[in-house]
Amino acid sequence: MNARVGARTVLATAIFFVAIMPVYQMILISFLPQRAILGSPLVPNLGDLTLQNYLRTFSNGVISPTIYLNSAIVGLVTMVIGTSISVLAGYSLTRYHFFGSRLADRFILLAYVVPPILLVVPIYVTMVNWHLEDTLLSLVLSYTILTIPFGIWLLRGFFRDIPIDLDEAARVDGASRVEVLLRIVLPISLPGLAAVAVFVFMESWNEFLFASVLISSKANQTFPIGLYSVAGTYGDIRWGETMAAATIGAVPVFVLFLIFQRWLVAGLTSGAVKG
Amino acid sequence: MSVRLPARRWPRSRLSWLSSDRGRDSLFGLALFTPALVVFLVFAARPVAETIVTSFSRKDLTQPELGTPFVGLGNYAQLLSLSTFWPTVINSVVLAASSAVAQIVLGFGVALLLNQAFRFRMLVRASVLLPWAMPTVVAAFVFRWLFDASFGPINAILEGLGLVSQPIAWLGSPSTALLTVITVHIWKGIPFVILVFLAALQTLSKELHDAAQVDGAGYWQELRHVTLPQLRYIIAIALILRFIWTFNWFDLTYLLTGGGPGDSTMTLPIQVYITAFRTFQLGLSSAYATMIALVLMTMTVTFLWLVTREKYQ
Repeated sequence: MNARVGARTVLATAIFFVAIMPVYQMILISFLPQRAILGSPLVPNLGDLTLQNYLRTFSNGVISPTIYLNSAIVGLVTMVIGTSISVLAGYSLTRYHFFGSRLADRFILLAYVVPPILLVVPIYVTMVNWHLEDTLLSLVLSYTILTIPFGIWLLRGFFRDIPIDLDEAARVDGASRVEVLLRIVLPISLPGLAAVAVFVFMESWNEFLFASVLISSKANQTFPIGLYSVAGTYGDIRWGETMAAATIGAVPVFVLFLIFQRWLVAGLTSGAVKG
Repeated sequence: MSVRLPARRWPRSRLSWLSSDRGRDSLFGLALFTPALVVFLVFAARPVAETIVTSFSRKDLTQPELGTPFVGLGNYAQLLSLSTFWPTVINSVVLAASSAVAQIVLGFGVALLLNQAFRFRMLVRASVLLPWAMPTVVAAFVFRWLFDASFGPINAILEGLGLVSQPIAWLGSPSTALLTVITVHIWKGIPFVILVFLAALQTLSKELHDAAQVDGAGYWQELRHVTLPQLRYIIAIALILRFIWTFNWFDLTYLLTGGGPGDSTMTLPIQVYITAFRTFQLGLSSAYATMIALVLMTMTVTFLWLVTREKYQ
């Protein structure tokens, strides 16, 4: 038995290092000067560590702090809209019948066989017609459609686990249909809501394709586009500055993810697996 | 399942224009679903329809004076005659299939391990989920660094171990680029699979496992005859989801290689992007995109049919 526990620990350690290596390298390189980077360091010489990449990334005007702000705005607004739409639709599919509801319930995930690249040209044309090109709102609208099928699917499984007797009992006690959803169902569904909210936020924060097509001005760039252009500005990639900009964009999502990972697992357990 | 109650308990609902409780349930349900439906119609159904229509016409933004004449299946014929078409299809399928299978196999192993007790389990679990949270553009640049031919740590490690005699241009040479891209896809997509399997392992029937242990089943026997059969359906779903997502995923491959070197990592989404936004042949790019959706839909429906057929047999 002890040998098995030992093997498990060795294996887990190996997995840990493979998983963490890219993150570690990103953070490490962001704190090293150019000459130290070129030695492909695995373990740094502590005396080399410096903040100059962080200072230079912003001071030379190549990257603007607004990219993080724009991404945060797009992420939060999409999170609110996407989660709300997913809640309403997911709840509706598990409690009510209407024309087409069974079809929608069964095939919601098939939405993902439609490649985003197929949507990007017509959505771009639509945004131009609506005079929304190069706005953050165009991104919010695009990311909503990209994320709600998964959100609805996950919450649908979640709501189905909540006994319908609970709804009925509340109705008998005089609650309206809306009150049942807001006061009874939502409070017990918080893990599912959190899972969907984090999913929507991260997808919006990370999305590159639509942002690269819809956004043309520097002022409206989101983080992925800003980082892409900082790395492409120089002939060769300036690794130190690129990694500094990358770290600033990655750390908030890491923190968010680490805080909510427990809920994500819980959300997927009821939402996806039993569905 | 609708909430059905005797109408007489709800006098105020009689004011409603639809008198049956059931009818009002339906209406309420539909009302809740409406926002999703509107978003779907405006930003998914209509774009899809537009793309399909465009795929039957010549639409070239560099020659707007030609208008958009109907050309029937002309774009599709042109597409199939391109020498790059089939290699691109094969690249996409190889990339998506091998990533999905590797993620399922490795992800299942990691989930089994994480489902057991050992020291620092929570730390390891958080670490294996981290790649999912890493922004795609960040992951792409970090892996370009790790696999860099001149300074990348991976070459440094391999040389240090004496496994290679000279640095390998992982992403820069046609023979290794696709394999390298697949490796990054596996790393980036595996957390989703681990999460799903970790969640699925919580739902396993404890009685079955107790029974297997009473019957003297060993670890591998139990895994093969008790655990795996219970997870068949979720494995199939995870496999198809990963395949679809990887197949349709433009960002990661584009940011790693842009489809190069040569066309060695060219995927269908990148091809669509280039056709639409570099050469501006919207008709052709629409035909490309429609084709991807058709191929995927056929594969998915066939796969789901096979899986569910087995499930209900």
